[in-house]
Amino acid sequence: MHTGAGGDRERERVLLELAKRDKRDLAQSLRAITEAASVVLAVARASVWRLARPDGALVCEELYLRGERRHERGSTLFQRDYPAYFAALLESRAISADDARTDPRTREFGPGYLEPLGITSMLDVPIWHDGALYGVLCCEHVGPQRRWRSDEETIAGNLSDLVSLSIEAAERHAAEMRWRTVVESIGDAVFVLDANGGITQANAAARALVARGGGSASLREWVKLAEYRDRAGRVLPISDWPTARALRGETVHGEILHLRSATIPDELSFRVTCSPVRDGDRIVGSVGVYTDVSEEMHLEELQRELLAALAHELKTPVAITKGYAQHLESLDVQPAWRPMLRAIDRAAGRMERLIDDLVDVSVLRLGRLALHREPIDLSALVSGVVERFARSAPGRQLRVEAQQPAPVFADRPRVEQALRRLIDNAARYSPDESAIEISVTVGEHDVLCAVRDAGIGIPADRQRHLFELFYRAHAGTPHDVGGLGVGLFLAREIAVRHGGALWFESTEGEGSTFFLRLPRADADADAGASESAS
Amino acid sequence: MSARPLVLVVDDDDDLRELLGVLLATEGVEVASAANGLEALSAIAARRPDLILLDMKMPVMDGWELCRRLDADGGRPPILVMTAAFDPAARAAEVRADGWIGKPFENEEIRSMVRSIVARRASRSS
Repeated sequence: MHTGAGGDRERERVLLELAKRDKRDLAQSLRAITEAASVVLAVARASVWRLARPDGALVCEELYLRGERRHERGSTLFQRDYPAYFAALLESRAISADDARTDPRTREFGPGYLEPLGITSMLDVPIWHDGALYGVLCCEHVGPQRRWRSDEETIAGNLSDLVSLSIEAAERHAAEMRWRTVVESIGDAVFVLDANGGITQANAAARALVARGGGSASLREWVKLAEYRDRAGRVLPISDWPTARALRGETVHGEILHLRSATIPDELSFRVTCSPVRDGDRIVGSVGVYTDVSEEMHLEELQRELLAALAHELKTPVAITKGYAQHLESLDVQPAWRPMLRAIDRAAGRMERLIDDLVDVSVLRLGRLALHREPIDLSALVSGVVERFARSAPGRQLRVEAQQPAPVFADRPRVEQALRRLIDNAARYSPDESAIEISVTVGEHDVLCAVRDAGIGIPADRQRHLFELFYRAHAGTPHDVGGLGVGLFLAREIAVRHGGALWFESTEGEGSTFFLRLPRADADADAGASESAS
Repeated sequence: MSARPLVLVVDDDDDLRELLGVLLATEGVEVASAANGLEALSAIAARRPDLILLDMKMPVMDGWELCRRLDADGGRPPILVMTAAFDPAARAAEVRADGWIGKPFENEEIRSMVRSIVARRASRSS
């Protein structure tokens, strides 16, 4: 008898202690388990071996020698030397060998292992983890042979399960640490908030941000410290904060927000992504990623200023050149000068178009094509553009047929810009004496504006590229009038952002018609407004 | 003697002011000029123009400030904003101008705009 009634209680106590331990450090857990095994099962040697694949070897991860109170590790047993034992590991719940030296499963250990170490009985339990054999827990008795009792087998089984749990806990901990390292090293601020807006997790960048903002652990306190504005400068009520929207089930994708706080001297700008965290159907929190784009926004602002200054500085000299060339040509000058003056005028016109294109490209690049929509009458707008164009190209025949009112909900300068591009193009690529026809028709759902010219048309093989940025259909032909090839791209971009479309029909040598379609604004709701806006 | 309408050109570019003087000479108007908002204010004090051709971005005093001052002083003559900005219509709307023209302009374009504003004013005052 190795244990008595007192031993039972001792056994319970040891197992309970083991179960309660922090299992994140696997090496520590294995030391504790092997020590416990040697005590509760009263064996001289208790060890945990790990199956190393693919070479089929058992490597000793932990061996406790009870007599010497010493730990050891590192020995290796190869499958090819002990085939019966390896096979038994896969087939048995436990290898309970009272006489290890004769038991068919363990006798292969006899001369080389059991005899030199004085081992007589073995109680080995396979350790399973994640559906695969992880290794084995070995309890080896030295001294007179033992007869393993079923309760001892159960205890060994429990200890083997504890090894399995420890492995799982350690792996989970390692994965968590890896993930934490990843999240911590992200330069963006990452917040995890609970359903009440309390910060439950925050990475280094997020903690630094909170500290900069005055330090607070919950959204409620943060509200008192900080203020968010959207791109238009509007102060967001807390219900519109990304976190609040995420808690309502919405996913916020890369929106720009500006943050102000008493403790932050300059306004900070963030690109924010925020998603709900769900537990089944319930939303239990939100994850927010805040990318600091303050520097970017500042550069964008500088770029915008530079661009405005550049356009301004370039356009004034062009205006002077063009103005005098046109003026001189209208005077009683030597006939030979006229073509020269016209050439100066044309060259200035080319420069003007280049500057416009340059500005447009930059506007696109800066993502400034934000629409400020209002109810307008497209027919009135078309008339305005045509009138303006007629003044700049006197003598050019323009026919307008516009149904009124043609209510659309649109950004006036942008739509004007698109129309101007279409009319400019029509004029540029058609003979001066030919007419340009412009029509506006009001459909049930849409308003359609068509600009038709009797010009050179667009070669069939170039048509599909027409709306590409920087594509110039007439480049390298006698009809090349310059520019960067952004006008039609921009015009279509404007149409699409209004929920409309821009397309064309063209026959080479006969002319082209461009169609701009915009969704019709609700006639009832906008009737008064469109009247006052026109 | 001074029956001819007065157009005040406010622009910081000397050559552009001179060009407008030349172009508008055919329109039966008198042309005065100022290089910035401040000069414009004293010109306006000396003789009230019938039309101001106004550049917006100028040193010393820009077009926005000039409009504010004129409004504060009780009313202003018609203003035609003349700008090289990306969105001239928006500039004009900012100062509630009577019209706008983008730079560069066609000579005929600016002449006809000046002509129509001055004519409207003449018919109203007669």
